[in-house]
Amino acid sequence: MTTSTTTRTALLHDAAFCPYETLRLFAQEHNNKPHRNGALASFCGIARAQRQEQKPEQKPGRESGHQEKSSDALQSLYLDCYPDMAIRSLEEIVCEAQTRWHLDAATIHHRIGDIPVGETIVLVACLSARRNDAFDACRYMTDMVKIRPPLWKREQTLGGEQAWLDANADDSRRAACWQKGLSTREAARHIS
Amino acid sequence: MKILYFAWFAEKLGKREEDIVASDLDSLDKLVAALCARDESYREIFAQKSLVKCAVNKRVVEGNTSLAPDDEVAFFPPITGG
Repeated sequence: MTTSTTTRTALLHDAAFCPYETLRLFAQEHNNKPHRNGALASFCGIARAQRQEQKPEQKPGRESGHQEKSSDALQSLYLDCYPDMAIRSLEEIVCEAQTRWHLDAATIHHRIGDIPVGETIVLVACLSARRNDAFDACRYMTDMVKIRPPLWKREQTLGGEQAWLDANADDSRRAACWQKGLSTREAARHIS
Repeated sequence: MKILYFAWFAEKLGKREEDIVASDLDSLDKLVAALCARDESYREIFAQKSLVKCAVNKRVVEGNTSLAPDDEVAFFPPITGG
């Protein structure tokens, strides 16, 4: 599923990809002379070892603030995906950002399948003449990636436990801020 | 009609897709009823309607909708995002 082309605005990767090389190629392709873009903003999401906290009402038996044992640490994430819908959703997010802010280019690269802890899950990047447009668009795309593409996360611990995650209510609240047209500063208050 | 399942729905059923040939399944409600009549694993999946999301031909749909024999219907739990 991974492809070497850099002309698409969204890509799914079923194997590890290097975010730094991807970012370098993106900037190289879109920021040729006359170098009108003064800002390149990016976000790289990485699989962390800590389990995602689930609200007690979402997962009975797993309370907030629960002390993790070493076997609770994550070994990997698995991201199930409806590929055709996911690509279209990511492309729509990029298109919306390009409509809403002054961007020369934007891209989203998303990993699917098994993702060992420490590897990149997602890279969001955009190029703009000015930093405010680049920062705001990057934050918008990142927030939308958390709720819109048909992706489902399953955690696997070092102890061998597997669990599908519920939708994150905080992610939905952040996205709702954008949809209500709140400013970046107001939306940022909902980001932990 | 091609039926797709994702996340724990696919795990529960032990399959990610299946083809159904039945000209009388011309609505989503009829399709769900036919699937639930098969066995307990389908009934468990469709037990809580609010937790079952559906896409027809890669577009999310809400409520009942008409279906054609060559449609692609996907069932999945709420999206957890990237």
